[in-house]
Amino acid sequence: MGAARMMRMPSYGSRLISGLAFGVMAVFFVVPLIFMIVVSFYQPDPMGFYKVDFVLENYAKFFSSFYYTVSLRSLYSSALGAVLVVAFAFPLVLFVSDLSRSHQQFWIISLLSLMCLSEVIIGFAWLILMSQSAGIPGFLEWIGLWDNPRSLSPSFGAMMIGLVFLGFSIVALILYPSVSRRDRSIEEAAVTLGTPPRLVFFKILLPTFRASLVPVTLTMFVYMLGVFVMPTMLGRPKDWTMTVIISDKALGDANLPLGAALAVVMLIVTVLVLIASAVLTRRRTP
Amino acid sequence: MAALTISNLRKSFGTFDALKDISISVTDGEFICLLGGSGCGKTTILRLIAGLETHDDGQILLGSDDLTAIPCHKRNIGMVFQSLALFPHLNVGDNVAYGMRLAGFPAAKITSEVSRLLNLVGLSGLMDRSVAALSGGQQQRVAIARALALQPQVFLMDEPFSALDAALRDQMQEEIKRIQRDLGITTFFVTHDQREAMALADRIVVMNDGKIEQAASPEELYTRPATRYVAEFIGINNIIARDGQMPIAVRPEALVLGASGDGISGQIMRQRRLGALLEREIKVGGQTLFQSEIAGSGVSFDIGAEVMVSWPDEKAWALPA
Repeated sequence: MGAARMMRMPSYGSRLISGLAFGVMAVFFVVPLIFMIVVSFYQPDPMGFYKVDFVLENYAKFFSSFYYTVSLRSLYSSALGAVLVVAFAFPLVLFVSDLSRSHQQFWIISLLSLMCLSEVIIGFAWLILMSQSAGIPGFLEWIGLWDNPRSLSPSFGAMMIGLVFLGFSIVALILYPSVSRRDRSIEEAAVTLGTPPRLVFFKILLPTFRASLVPVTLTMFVYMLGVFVMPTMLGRPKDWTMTVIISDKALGDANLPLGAALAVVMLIVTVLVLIASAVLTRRRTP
Repeated sequence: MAALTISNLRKSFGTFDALKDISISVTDGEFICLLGGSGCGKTTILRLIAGLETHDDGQILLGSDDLTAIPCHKRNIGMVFQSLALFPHLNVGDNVAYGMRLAGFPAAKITSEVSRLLNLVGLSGLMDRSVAALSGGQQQRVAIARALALQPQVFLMDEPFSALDAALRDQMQEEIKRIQRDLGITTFFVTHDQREAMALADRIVVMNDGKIEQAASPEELYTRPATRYVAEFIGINNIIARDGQMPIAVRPEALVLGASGDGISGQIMRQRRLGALLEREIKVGGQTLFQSEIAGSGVSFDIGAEVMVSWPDEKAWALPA
């Protein structure tokens, strides 16, 4: 019997599920995307949202220095946030995975609890923590480490702390299953071959988990590009990301075509960054 | 290479005593098999020698050096792990070269050593292959080559062939024996398979419940097991109780059956032919004895037949109760 004849045809059940999945994707993703692309070529209307037309001026505005700079800053802050959150979460997950079963459960439940908090609540909590009188600056003054405390927010650093906090539990929970099931004898083998224990993380664990860490970092990068609340609550206007600017243009200035054009450009840039990362990662994989 | 002396070694994990006062002296170049069931402490000994665990009491001397004062990464002890523990992000050559690169060997020396080691384990030409693309036996050889790369003073192997099929296991046993003989390296090999231990070891250390039951050559262990546990573990399953005396052990092939004459009376309960071998189960009093012989070499009996069971005195020995 030939291999082709031995291949099973998809059952009606799997065809139905595939069709439903495609339908959901079409309704909730493809249709809005097409609508956004179409609107991005419309004429803005100061009296309303847009006038049906075909103009390129919305895209031309992107290359003005303001939007260009904002988009680069968005890419930078999202990339930095993604790298930082993975850099903090990975060692913590390694630490947790070596604890006893009951202690691991405690950490997992704590991380899950963090995920239940909304972005707004987390933002407010950090606003209070970074305020001059009630938060960390006041505490540092009280223990004598800071003579003239001032509020730590809004600032780029405060925004990054918010972004990292937001992504931390997500990254930790994504990495936990593979990290907790890792073969510990690989680390032991490295030590018997002369690796000082303090270098096992860099020489063995990081390269071994690169295949997991790169996709998680890229996922976080995309996620942080879309975060809206943290930049507005904890960042200065000059730290605002493109998401905030798009929202500001589309809703604040009622200029939906410009907002749509900026969103399309950011989408293209994001996809290009992801493709480039995937190609580079594949090239370096042995 | 060097002799290794373990004295009064103790190790506990919480309330569980993994090792209870273990002492072994191993001569330079000797092949030792640590044999025993799960949880008997054999892997713990290996991990203590490697420095992956710290002991509670006792001493491990390599030559005249006290190993317990040296951290694991400075001991230069080669170890092959049960899971092999190959570095998945490195290819075959880089896995073998890992320790040498870390130790700062010159690049030319590393290249020639990797070639020599891969040749030694029969993997020439696979230097650039991903370890994930190798068969189980080939991965096994990479692990052995990697562990030998730094010319360790002691070579440790923790049930390295347990995941291999029977044919490949036999082949790898021959390979490892050849490599060990060629290099003359002091070797500890952990296994729970008595056949594997018999095939490989210069000396077998049978362990049970954190203690050494017997340390002896395969021949001595088989012909004169010191304890009931050793006799049972290595497959001598006729241990005959005697009133007021120590029980005796007799191998199945030493039992002689007759229709009449001297001996103890019994009844044949089962018999089956396994190729050239005939195996019987004989009920004697409340005990079942196992007898084996070359088929056709003795008297034939039917199942249920009454027989007299005897054995030569020199092939039976008394065991501690």
